[in-house]
Amino acid sequence: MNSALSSIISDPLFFLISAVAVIAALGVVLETNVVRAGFLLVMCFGGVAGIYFLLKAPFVAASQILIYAVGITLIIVFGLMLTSFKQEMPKMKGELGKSILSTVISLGTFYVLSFALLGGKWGVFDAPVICPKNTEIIGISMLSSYVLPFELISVLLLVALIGAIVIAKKDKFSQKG
Amino acid sequence: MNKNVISKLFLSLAIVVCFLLMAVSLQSNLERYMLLSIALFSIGIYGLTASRNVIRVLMSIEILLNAVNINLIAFSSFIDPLEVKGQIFAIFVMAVAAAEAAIALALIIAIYRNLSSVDMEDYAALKW
Repeated sequence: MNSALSSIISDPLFFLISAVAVIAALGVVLETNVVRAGFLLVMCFGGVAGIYFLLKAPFVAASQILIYAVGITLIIVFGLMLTSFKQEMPKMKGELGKSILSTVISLGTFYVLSFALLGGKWGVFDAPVICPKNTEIIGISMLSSYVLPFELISVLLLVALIGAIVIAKKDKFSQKG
Repeated sequence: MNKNVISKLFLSLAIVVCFLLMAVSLQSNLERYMLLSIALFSIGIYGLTASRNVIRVLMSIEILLNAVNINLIAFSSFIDPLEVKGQIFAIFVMAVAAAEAAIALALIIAIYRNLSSVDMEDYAALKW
């Protein structure tokens, strides 16, 4: 009990932020109202961005906020409003069994992965080491050793955006819509 | 309905209690971050298998990708702080996730126009 308290006191921000992230993620998957789940997703991504700040990765934390907490969540909430806004799912047979099976799968994943975590020897690291020129190193290595994946990612994003427009565009010959 | 609520409560209590108990008992900081990643990953797996709304399945996939990113960044800043390779991979993962979200929502809107439904049970055109 004493060691538990001391480990909370030694790193209180981690426990606060990770509790927020885990509880918000549980809210995303368990909340019945989908729009509320979409806004809980912002909280979850914000918590993960805080974890990145704790890990001394400010550039990734900022891009997490920009890309995930604003961009992707905005797209998802738009998708919700275009499709399932205030739409109730019809009751289905065997829903309880499905949810129990999913619980078993999820807790099994948790058990197996944490078993691997406790069994492994990861070495003792006290605190994340501060990288003095974090953003500069990321920028330089993105344009030197990782330039090929960088260019591929930009082509992928272009293809994905054009493809998304083509797929979502209204078809002239379709019957409905 | 009531049993459904009980099963949801059981899942959330199990994950939160296990996470907090193991996090306070672990001594190394790196293992705590990995434990957080495990907790988010199993929550995402639950959402992926249990949800009926397609868009909620998409949200669960985003949570899964975030769990992976936490692991990458934790290892990069504990073990490899001079050339932060893990952070570069995390940025690539984010870019692919953005492309995936855009494509997936376009597909969902196109299917919704034909089927007028976002229920996973109705998306059975490829089932034999």
